[in-house]
Amino acid sequence: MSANKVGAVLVVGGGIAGIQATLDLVESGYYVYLVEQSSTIGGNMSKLDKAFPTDNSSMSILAPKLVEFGSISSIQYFTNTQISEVAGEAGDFKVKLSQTPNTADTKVCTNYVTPVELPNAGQDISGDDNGKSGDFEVNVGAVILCPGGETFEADQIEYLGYNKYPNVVTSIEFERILRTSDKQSVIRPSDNKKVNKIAWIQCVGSRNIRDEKHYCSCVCCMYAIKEAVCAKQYSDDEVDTSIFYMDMRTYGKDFEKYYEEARDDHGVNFIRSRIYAIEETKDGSNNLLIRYGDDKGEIHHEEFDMVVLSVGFKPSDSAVQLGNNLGIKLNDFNFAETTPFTSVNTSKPGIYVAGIFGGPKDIPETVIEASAAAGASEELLSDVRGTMIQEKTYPPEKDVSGEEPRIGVFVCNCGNNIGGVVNVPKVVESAKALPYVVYSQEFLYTCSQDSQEIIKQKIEEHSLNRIIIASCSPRKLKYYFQETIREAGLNRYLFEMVNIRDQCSFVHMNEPEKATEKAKDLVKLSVNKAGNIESLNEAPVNINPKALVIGGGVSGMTNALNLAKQGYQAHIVEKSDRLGGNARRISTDFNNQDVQSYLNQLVDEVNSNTNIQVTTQASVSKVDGYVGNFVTTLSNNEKIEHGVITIAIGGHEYKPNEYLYNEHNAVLTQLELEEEITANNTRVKNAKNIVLIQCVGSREPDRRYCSRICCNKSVKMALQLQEMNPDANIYILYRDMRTYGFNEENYRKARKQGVIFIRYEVDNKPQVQTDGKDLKVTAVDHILGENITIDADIVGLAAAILPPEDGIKLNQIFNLSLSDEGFYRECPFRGSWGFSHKEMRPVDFASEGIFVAGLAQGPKSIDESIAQAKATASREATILNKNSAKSSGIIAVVQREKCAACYTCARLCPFNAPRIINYAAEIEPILCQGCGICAAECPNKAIILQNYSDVIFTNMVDELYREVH
Amino acid sequence: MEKEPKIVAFLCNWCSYAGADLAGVSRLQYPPNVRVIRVPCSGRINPLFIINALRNGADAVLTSGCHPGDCHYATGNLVARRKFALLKNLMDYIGVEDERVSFSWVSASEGTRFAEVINKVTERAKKVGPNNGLFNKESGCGGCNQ
Repeated sequence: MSANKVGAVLVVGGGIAGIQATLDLVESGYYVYLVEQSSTIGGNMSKLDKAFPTDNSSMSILAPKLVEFGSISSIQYFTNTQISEVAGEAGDFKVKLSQTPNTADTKVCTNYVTPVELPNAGQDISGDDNGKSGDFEVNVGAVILCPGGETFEADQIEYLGYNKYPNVVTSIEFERILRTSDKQSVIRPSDNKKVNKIAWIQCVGSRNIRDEKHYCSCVCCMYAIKEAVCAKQYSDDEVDTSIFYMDMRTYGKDFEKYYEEARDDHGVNFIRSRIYAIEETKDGSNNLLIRYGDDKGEIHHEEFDMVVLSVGFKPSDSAVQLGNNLGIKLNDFNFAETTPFTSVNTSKPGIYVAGIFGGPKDIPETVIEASAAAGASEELLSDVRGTMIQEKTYPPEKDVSGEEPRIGVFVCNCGNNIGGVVNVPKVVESAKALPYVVYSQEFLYTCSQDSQEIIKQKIEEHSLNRIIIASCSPRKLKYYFQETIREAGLNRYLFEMVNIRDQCSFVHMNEPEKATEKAKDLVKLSVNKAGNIESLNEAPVNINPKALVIGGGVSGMTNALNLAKQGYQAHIVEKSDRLGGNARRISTDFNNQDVQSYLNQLVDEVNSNTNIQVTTQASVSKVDGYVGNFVTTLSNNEKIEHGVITIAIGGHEYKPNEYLYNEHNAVLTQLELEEEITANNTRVKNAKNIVLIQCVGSREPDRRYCSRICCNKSVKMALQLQEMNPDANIYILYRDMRTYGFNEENYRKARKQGVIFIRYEVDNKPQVQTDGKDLKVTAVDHILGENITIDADIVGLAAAILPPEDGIKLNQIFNLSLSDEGFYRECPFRGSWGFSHKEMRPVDFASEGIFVAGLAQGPKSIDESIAQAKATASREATILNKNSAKSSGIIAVVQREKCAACYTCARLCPFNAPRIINYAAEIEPILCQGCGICAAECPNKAIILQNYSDVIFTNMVDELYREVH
Repeated sequence: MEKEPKIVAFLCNWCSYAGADLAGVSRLQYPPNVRVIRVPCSGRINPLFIINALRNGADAVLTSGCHPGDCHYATGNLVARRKFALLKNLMDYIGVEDERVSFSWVSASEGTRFAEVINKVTERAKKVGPNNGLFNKESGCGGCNQ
């Protein structure tokens, strides 16, 4: 590792992973260079219609993140750029980049799916440096690779008919069809006719030995279900949807319910099958005939209007080349290999990987890994944190309170984009006539650097105290202009933006007069509002740079250790008498890595780190305060002051009631069997017939979730058992084999080595019987359709993973959201109306400053827990690195004298910001996100959302219709 | 010449306003009768805003937020929906034509849908004619036939 570390990080790839890693890093005090080889950021996610399992619109998750990009000064991003060379070592890399000149017109992004325009070269907007072209070098301490993945080229499998028949499309093409649909019908490509019958073909380019794509692509089962349900919802007519699959792999959190609802409520057909061929019908209708074999081997033919191929992921050629250039180890399928128990470290120190390049995965997991990679970089570079970032200084803020409004209106032509339709001089002229407007002028480009200087000059010259920019969307450039007025000594909230381009000139191109009238009205509205807005303060809050970590398992320890290495204090509270949690009972992970030696090393590191304090045999009994300033009381009456909380209280294994568990001592749970394997127990070693039964307690009516890891674990144990005794017969009785991702390799290996897999139906479960001594397992062989009976020496039950035992009790203290099953429910989609970066947060809760990691959030593997624990640390570091944080200015405030303490606000606030103190509500500024729900609901209108008050809105409308009267 | 309706639209910042931006970026054309007021969340909209607009002579009022489940603030649109359902009843009761008050959900990726909503709202406003004042209709109270 280099002695001269650099406090900057290079992020490669501008998809959701790159964006998340970048935002985490800059918020934690590091400078980021973001390199994207295409001309826009957004990646694969911007191509999707909706995201499962919440069915939120993909763009509404992504867009706010993109908006933030233009507003941060410690990001420099380069589009159309690739890495040509990397030299140096962890802590100090010199990276050569080469940028191809930008030929695309990025000024106006006509790309359908990217509503957020990126500031471009000609405009010199903060953070962007696309003016550069050719080769240049950056110096960074760490590199995060998130180049994403590509979808499999479906035409490589000829019998599927892709590129041959127009109505055979890939899933990603179907996303586009959904996105652009009128939500009344789904249209097929060949003849633009409505479709009534659609088929999805799973595992196209996944689990495919012939094309050397043996791995499972993880997301296709879920997206196929999502697309099938959307196709039904987007059509007025009844649409028949069928999914042809091998195993339904809905293993993620809430995925099983999604699958069940699709099948039972929406009527999606699921057909377990093997596809033989897809051909067009001969009648010229362009319909498609699918020939398939069902699981009994019978052959069927069925006609569809359209066929969607669920294509899998693969790393792009350029990513593979990048990996090779960097000298990192790639796996057999050319994905980046991570080192054991790190989940994001590549084989080369200082280079991390996140997202699909590390293996196929869904969006939340990608975001978790991105945060984890940021956390790992922060650990590496903690001693140079903040060295590359310059705190921007502003002139002292002018006090304009009590002054009469003096409004300046600047109207943009946007080249010809606005001026070509709207008569800009007329808009300027009408603005001048409005009350309190003392100055107005037009610009060719309001966002150019020159214009900023002029705006500042005019503020000075005319003593302007309210600024209005009439140009494009505030969603894009609001922060940028707010910076300008701050540089002129104005409070950033004394600003309004009028959208006369995206919502006027662009949409009324053939009606210039009416568009001009509309633009004038919009300016009038804004001027009226500007007269009523005020300077707002951002309430400062001190941050205690210490974390409370509840739970001393792998997740809790990883989280604490990452924070400690970043220089923050962590206090682990563990209920039992020693650290280690569930991992104490696990011998090896799915890649056959030794868990115990890793665990011992982790415990040693935790115990020897001076930044970490451990309290065992204690639990949390009370928590007061809020983000930055929590005070927690433990069961031993110890009081801890801290800034953030990690909930890592784990989960536990279900104790089955079924299959003679507790009645016969040779019936064991997975963990019990694993312990016997580790102990090299003779009865396991000498067992001739071993039966492993899957889904014991999972995917049942009272536990409608998949426990995710049991298939992988049973397959791993089968291989272990086989190694112990090559003569043993090992049977795995399963419902769907869910060996997702690269775990598919173990499944393949097990089959090849003679482990016998027998599928059972949920309504015809295996029977385990005993005569008091011997065990007999009876199951229906799914191929022969006949009962088979196995004299089992050992029966292993893949028992469900249950939510933490203390979850509900602990939650009475925290009042967080739990899922129906009792796992902690993260809050992935939300954010602030103000100036902060809080989108898409798979380890965050709605309550600020509280985070979750590990099994407490849902079943997962050790590696996945480690990734989540690091991600949590990274998110926490964004808070802990600041001595003090500021609330947004746009927050709700209570007029005490009007408040009746009715609790309406306290009940409705999604963020638990209002509390009743001394018979009146008080809203904690740092928790308030500025949505205004409370202001609208308050029965006595005691709550005001600052600068968005009732008076402001009613005045605006009064003004708009003044002439009408 | 027939007087053009003037419609006021309250759009939530995160979904519907973004959907309107996307309609623009996609150059979808729709009638220029709507004046947009941006609000943080549909949950911020006080029913008073809608009544006030009608009282001032707005020919129609549109309120649009994120799809249920999509809300940037988790539950704001649900809170809004509850209020609007009630308001809708009130409007009906006091005789405000159904066409004057519309609610919709438009997400950030639904530029096309936004344009459709505006088309529909404008059409409906034209159909029902100018708003001659909420509380002095010639025919008296439309709701109770007096």
